[in-house]
Amino acid sequence: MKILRTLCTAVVLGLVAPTAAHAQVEPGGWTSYSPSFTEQERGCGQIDGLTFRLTCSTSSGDQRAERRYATYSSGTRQFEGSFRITSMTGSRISLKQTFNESGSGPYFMLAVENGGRLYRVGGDTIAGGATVGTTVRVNTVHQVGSQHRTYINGSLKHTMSSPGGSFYDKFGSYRTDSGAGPIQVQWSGVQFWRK
Amino acid sequence: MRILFVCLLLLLAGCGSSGQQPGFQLQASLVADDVTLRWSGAPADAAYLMVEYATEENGEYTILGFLPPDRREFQHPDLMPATTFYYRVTPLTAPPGEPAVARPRANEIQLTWADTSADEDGYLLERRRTGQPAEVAAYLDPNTTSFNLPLLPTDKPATYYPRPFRRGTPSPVTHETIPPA
Repeated sequence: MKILRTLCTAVVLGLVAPTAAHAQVEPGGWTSYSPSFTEQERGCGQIDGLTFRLTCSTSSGDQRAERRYATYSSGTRQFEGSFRITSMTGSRISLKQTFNESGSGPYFMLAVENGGRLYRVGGDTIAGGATVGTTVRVNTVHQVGSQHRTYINGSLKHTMSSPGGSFYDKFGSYRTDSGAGPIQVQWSGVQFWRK
Repeated sequence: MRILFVCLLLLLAGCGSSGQQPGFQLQASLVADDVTLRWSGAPADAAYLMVEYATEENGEYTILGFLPPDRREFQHPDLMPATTFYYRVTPLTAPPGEPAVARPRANEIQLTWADTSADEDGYLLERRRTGQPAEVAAYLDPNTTSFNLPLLPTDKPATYYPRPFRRGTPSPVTHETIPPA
């Protein structure tokens, strides 16, 4: 009976509901796209699909496991992705960057500190300690030459002005100047839009 | 056509017989770009109420918090414009047990325990401090028996209880659409 009811529900809903579902993002005009990327494994960084690991506690040198996406230099770009830290005995690890290729480097760097505090490297706290083991959704909206906004779990947590120039998105795990691994972070639901 | 008619009859006959917790109601109200959730009728045996959101009606839900069972309200502020937010509240039952065996380390505490539960949906690692309400420190997979919990220098001494949890029937889903900026 239960199976029949479920089947019937699907039949009825199929007649009245659209089948396509896309995440709703900031105001209209967005086009979904899939920029190309390369993977960067340096030092003790390891990538396995969307799992990114720093396996060492080395507090020096280039320790990274990241995806580096294609460069953009105009318009508005939106990144969406969810991360779950599955183990972390290190601290101060960058999870998402908006990198200024034509400027001074990592223009915006979202990092996590021991205990789950999310912060902007060189800036303030972005969100309080997320419960360890839960998934956190990140949206960045970047209007090149105007503004960069960061949403954590749907809420606007950080706004900064943006210069013009060439930028690209990176995510994964990367040891900041004051940080060290180990960490293992699982990303999911990565999407991009532009307008 | 006859099959569809039978299906509709079956669906109508089944209304209210399963799925939602009877009397568990969830409402959302929108002011500017802030959503306030209010609910009533949550099961009395819940250890925590898990508040989640999604931006697609059938989309991936993201946990916003684990609230004590006597809470009736939650605020989700400063939301993305022109976006529809879907919400649900799920009661978690989690029998209390013994505290984990704790071995402090430099920047973390190593916790171990026995997995005495069967068919749990996961473990809530509950932090208890003197004079403060208990809170969920970590949300762990089923059958977990150890965890190294990162600590901040400001963290006060605490006792940690691994509580195997099971998800109850969630509230009805409610939604609000944030206006354009």
